[in-house]
Amino acid sequence: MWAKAPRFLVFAAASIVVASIASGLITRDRALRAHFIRMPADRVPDDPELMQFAMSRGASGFAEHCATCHGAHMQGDTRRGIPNLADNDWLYGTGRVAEIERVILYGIRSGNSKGWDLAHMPAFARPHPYNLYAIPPLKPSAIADVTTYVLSFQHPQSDAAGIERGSRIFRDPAGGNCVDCHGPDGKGDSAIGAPDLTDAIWLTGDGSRQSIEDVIAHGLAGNCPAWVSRLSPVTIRSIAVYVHATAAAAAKTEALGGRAKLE
Amino acid sequence: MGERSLSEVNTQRSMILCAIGALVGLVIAGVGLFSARGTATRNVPPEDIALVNQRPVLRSDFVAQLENETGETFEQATRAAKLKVLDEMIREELLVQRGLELDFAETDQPTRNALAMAMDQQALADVTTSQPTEQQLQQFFANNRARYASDGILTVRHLLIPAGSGTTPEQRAQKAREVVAALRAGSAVEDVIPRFGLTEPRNDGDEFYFAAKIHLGDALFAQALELKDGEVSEPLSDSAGVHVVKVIRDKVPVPLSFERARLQVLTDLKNAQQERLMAATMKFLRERAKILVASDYSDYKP
Repeated sequence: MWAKAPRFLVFAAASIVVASIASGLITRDRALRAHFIRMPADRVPDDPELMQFAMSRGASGFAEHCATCHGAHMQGDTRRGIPNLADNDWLYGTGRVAEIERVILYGIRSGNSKGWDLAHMPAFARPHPYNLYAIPPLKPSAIADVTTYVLSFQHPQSDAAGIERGSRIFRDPAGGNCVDCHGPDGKGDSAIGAPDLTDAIWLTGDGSRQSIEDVIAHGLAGNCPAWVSRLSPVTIRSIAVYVHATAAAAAKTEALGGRAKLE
Repeated sequence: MGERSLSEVNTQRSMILCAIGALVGLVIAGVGLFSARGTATRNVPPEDIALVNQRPVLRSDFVAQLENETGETFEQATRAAKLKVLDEMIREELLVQRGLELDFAETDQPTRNALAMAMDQQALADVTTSQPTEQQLQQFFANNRARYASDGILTVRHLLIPAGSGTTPEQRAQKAREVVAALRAGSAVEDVIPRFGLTEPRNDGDEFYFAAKIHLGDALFAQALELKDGEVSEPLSDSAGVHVVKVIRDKVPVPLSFERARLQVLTDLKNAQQERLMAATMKFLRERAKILVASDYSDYKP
């Protein structure tokens, strides 16, 4: 029958088939995108199809927009106070996809009022350590004592009197008042981006006396841009999913390593 | 089969191909028309939770507000809570739109403050969140090397022969000279204070230079900086009385290496960029604006 059909009809039929397949693929992609965006962000990692959809987009989006600061392998830069995203230790939030997505959307101290901007590390060696409200500067010896106290969270310090003085300043509402952000146990507060001082992960510096004193003296306030008006919702969520998955994989590797050590 | 001549016209084939082309064109145009950004539509885009007069309420904002209000994750929140938050957001959007209609930016001071602050931040956002290159940092450091030194720390004993208390200025000056002589001869500050009836306005131990300057005042601070550890100043009179300072320790600032100063350089460079950008933004806004100032303020200059 086909052999007898006019040639143009065969071409037309073939064109229609190709167009149908193409439009079917486009429709499917659109449906997948819509499903990806409508799905609560935290449930995306449970869906293999959406994960597959997100990961390659997320990787290229991260490489293009985030890697300049956070590094190609998300390792961050402690010289500039840029956090490592691959260690599953979260400065803001707890590492949920929805929280990561929100940081990418609105940034940190980005000038976007929906971004995170609740607090920053005061510069205690300045006449006016904090720009949001008045807090007193600290004396050099007080900064040294607080540093001793912070160091004692991880390493035994011989200066017991210094630890005691540092602890008092750390808690003093009219002094350092470090507890206000870092908490009474120094474990930080991811609701405001205050880092845990008791673990071995340092946002800036190497955890040495000098680098801790420098941060107490000169303060710290990192930034992350708001991408809400520059990237599509799909790209933003894909990057969030990619970062989440990478950090989760790193945590899993670390856990396995720890278990191997125990075994 | 031989080739057919181009002059051989098949009307039926032409009509069918033309119809197919028109149909495909219509479909493409229709899809484009109803899915283009900004097009009025009855469908809510996937990234939005609602459209209020075609203004989107973002899903991500909805999730954030829900989690903030309920203290639960989106998954944990009940349907009732979600609907309540959605209603609040739609209500807010309606009120904002009405506020814009009423031109609150012109009449409401808090709105004006918020707008001005938002514009400040918006104008500076790119600089604030950008990461200068290593070369830019090093260049800025090299151009402003004098800025990058460790903090100077001064420890002094500050003694005062107070004005009043029935003594003349000459008597106070004489006593001050004796105090200086005693200290220079090696007497301890603790012995000199009761012996001469001195007061000690503050004994703060070590202080950063800025704090010592506030504490001592400009003149006494300048004198203290001239002294070496253990040296005693000349008496200095002012309305409070006669001051004498003994420098216990002066830890003078030393230049920092680039590595040590990196974070400060980064902050200073961004501040400098922000100042430049803000000045340029204001220049642009002023140049394109028509600003008329009343004749009694004709001396106004930006």
